[in-house]
Amino acid sequence: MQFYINTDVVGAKCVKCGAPGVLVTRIHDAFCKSCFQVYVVHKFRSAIGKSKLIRDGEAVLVAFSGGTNSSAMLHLIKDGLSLRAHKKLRFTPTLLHIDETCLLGSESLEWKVKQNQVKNIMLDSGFPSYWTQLEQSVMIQKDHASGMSNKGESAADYERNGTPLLLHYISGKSGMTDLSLVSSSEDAGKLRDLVRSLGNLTAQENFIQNLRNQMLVQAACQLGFSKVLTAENSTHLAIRILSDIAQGRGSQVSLDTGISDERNGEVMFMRPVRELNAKELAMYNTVFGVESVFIPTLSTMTPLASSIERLTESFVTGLQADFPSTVSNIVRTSGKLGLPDIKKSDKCSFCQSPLDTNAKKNSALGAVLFSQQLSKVAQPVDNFQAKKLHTPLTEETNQSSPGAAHDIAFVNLHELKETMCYGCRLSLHAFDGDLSSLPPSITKTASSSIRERQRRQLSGFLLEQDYSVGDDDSIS
Amino acid sequence: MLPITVEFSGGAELLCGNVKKHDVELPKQDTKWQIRNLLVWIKDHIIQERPELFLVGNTVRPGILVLINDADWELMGELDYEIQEKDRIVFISTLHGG
Repeated sequence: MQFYINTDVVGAKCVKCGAPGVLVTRIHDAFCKSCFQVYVVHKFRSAIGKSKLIRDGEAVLVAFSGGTNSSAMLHLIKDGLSLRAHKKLRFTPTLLHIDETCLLGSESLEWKVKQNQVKNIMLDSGFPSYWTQLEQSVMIQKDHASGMSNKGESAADYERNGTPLLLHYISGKSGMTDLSLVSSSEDAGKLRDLVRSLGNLTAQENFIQNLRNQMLVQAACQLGFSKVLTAENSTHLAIRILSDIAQGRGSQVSLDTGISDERNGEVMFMRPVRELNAKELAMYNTVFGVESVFIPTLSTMTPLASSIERLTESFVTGLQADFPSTVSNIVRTSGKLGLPDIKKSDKCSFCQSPLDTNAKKNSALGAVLFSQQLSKVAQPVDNFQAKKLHTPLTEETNQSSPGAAHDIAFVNLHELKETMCYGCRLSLHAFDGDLSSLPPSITKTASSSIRERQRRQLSGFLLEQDYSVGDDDSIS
Repeated sequence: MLPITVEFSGGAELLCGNVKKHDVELPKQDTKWQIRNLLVWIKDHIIQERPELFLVGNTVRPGILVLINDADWELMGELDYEIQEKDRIVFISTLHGG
C-alpha cells in the first residue's frame, strides 16, 4: 500500500545545480549525475575522515565480495586514491576475496564465469589482491596467543602455530584453474555438511557470517594488516540491527553496526560506506558504470520469510519504500547505544563478542536455561544424544588437523556452548553434527577458554585455602 | 507494437531464467502502456518462477530499483509513466541474495 504518492519529484531538477535529475535520494531530493557523485564521495570520505581511525599511509585490507556494495566501495577507494581527487585518501589498500561458492555446492560453468569476473575486477583495480575460499575454515587453526600479537609474521612461523590460511595471490598470468586448486573439494563438502547440520536458515546465515568474519581476521593477521574495510551499507545495517535484536544478539548491535568493530583483538573492522544506503550504492554503480557481480547466497530464491534476516529485510525495505527515513532512523538510534566493555569481559569462542551470558539467575537467559534443563529431564531419549555429544574429541576424529589434536581434548557441546555468547548458542541450538566437524578455530578457542576458566576456579579455591579458611560460600 | 528493452540485474535476473536483457514488443492495447501495466505483463510473460519475489501488490517488491532510460523512476512518475518506444527499463535488486 502506498501511503503517499510523491508527485512533486516528477521531473524534478537537481537540488544543487538545477540540471535534470537522474535519481531521488534522501527524502525527495533529486540529484543530477555530477552532484550525486559529489554527494556519495563526500559521505564516503567523511566517514573515513571523521572516525580518524586510519593513519597516514597505513596499509588496509579491503574485503571484496564482488557484489554491489564492495564494488562501489572499491570504486570510491580507487577514485579517492587517484590524482583526480583533490584531497587524496592516504592509505594503501589490498583486496581479499573470500570465495563462498562451496556453500551452494555447484561447480558449474556459470560459477567459473562469476569467479573470473570477480578476479578481473580485482586485477583491473591495480591493487594487490588475494583470493581464498570459505571451506578452508574447516581446516585452519587460529592461535590467539602467538598469532594475534606478532604482526607481519612469516608463513613459516604460522606453520608452527597451526595450519595457515592459504591465500592465493592474483596476478595477471594465473589462469582460472589456479583458483580452484587452493583447497580440495573434500573440504567444501565438509563445510556444506556442517552448515546443513545447523538446521534452519537463520542459524546457517549467522554461522556463515561469523565464519567469514573470523576468516577475514585470520587473513589480516597472516598478511600483517590491522584494519579491514567492509562494505555494509546503511540499509544492510538497519536490517542487521533489527535481526540482531531478534536473534538474541542485542548486546552486539553497536559492534555489528558501528563505524568500527574492535572485538577481534588487533584486527579492526571498519565500515566506510555505512552512511550510504542500498539504493545510493546501486545507483552509483549504474550511473558510473561500475561493474559488479551478483553473488547468490543461501537465501537466494527462498520465500520471503525463510530466515529472520530475510524477513527483517522485507520489513525494513517495505517500510523504507513508504517512509524514506526508516533506515537512517534505525541506524542513528543504534548509534546512541553504548559499547560493551571489550577489554575486560570474556569473549565468545566463535564470534569474539564480549560474553553476555553472566546474567543473574532470574534473567531471561536463566529462565531459558532452566526450561532447557527441565525438558532434558523429561526426555529419556536425550541420554543417548548426550552420550553421542559427550564423546571426547580424540586423535582419530581430528586427523585432518594433527597439529592441534591434543589441544582440543574433551570439549563437549554443552561445555562448548558455555564459552559462547547467547546468539552463538542459539545458532548451534539445532546442531546435530559431529563436534569434530566444527572449524578447529572454534573448538580450540573454546577448549582454551574452558581451561582458563577451570584454572581460575582452581586458583580461587587455592586462595580460599590460604587466606580465608572458614568462608565456604564463595567456593561454590 | 511497442518495442522496448527490459533488463534485470542484482539477482532479479534469476527470476527470469537468468537472462539479463530482454528485447520485447508490447502488444497494442486501447489505453496507453504504463509501468503499472508493464509490471503485470512482465509477471505473465518474463518471470518464470516466484513472482512474489518481484511483485508485491501492484508494484515492485520494495528493494528493487526501477530505472527508466537510466533515470530513477520516481522522477518519471513511477507506475503512471507512459512507456515510449525504445524505452530501456531496468530492474535492479538491492536485496541480499537477490
